[in-house]
Amino acid sequence: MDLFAGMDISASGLSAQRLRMNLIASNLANVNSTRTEQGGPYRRRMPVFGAAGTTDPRNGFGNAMDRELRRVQVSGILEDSRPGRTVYEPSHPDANPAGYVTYPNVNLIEEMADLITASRSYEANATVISTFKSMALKALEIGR
Amino acid sequence: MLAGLFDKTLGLLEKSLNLRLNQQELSASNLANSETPGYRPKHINFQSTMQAVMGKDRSGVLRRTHPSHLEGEGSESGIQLRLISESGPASADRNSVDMDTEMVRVAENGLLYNATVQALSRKLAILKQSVEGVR
Repeated sequence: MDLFAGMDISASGLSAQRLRMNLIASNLANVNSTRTEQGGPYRRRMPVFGAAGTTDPRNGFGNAMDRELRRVQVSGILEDSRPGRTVYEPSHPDANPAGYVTYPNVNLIEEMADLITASRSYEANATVISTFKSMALKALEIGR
Repeated sequence: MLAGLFDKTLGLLEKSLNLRLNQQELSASNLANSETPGYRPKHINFQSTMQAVMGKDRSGVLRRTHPSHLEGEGSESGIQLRLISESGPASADRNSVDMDTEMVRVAENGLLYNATVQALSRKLAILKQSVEGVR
């Protein structure tokens, strides 16, 4: 393991959080979308994170330290199955016979809170990368 | 090898730098997984690992059990890393990474890495001076 391998781990964190922010953006943009390609209103999407080893499990020769390290990977993107909110709007083209329109199950407050968490995690990973960078630069000064 | 001139200090400082780097990687791993369900953060027990390296406690050191085996000098792989797996209060998703503690650890560890590099540079400067003599 070297300094760059450590940066790779933080980079996996950065890309996972960025993907999460993209999904939040998509949820917020479609907060009122009642039509989708699959039919029905838009459903809230969210990422599922999983920890993945950094060494190839097929070769058992990674040292003890490398086996403890975990990258983060996006194991999948789930659609929220909660029911959407219904609003009485008889004039809406997507209203059901009773006059109710089903809007996406996106909760603005929930998405905003998620966005703040995602951006904090993103910053934390970015900070670790810059610390790695300063350590590498410092190591170049040895014996100077 | 010139014992006395290149004494244990250089080797210890090198080990210490390696451990600091490993710790930084573990923190990177902990922070990258700060929202992975079920993830438990880990960090290195620096003091006990360093003691094992210095030979005060031989339990973690690779020992030769047969005369025809190759000798493993207290190498990196011979020293068992003493890891601490935290079991602090976990959130609902069984993840117990505390981002603030982890960030403090990153900052502290980075500073100590720099301090160790500085100590190493000093040591080398002293050696250089004794080679060149006072002019």
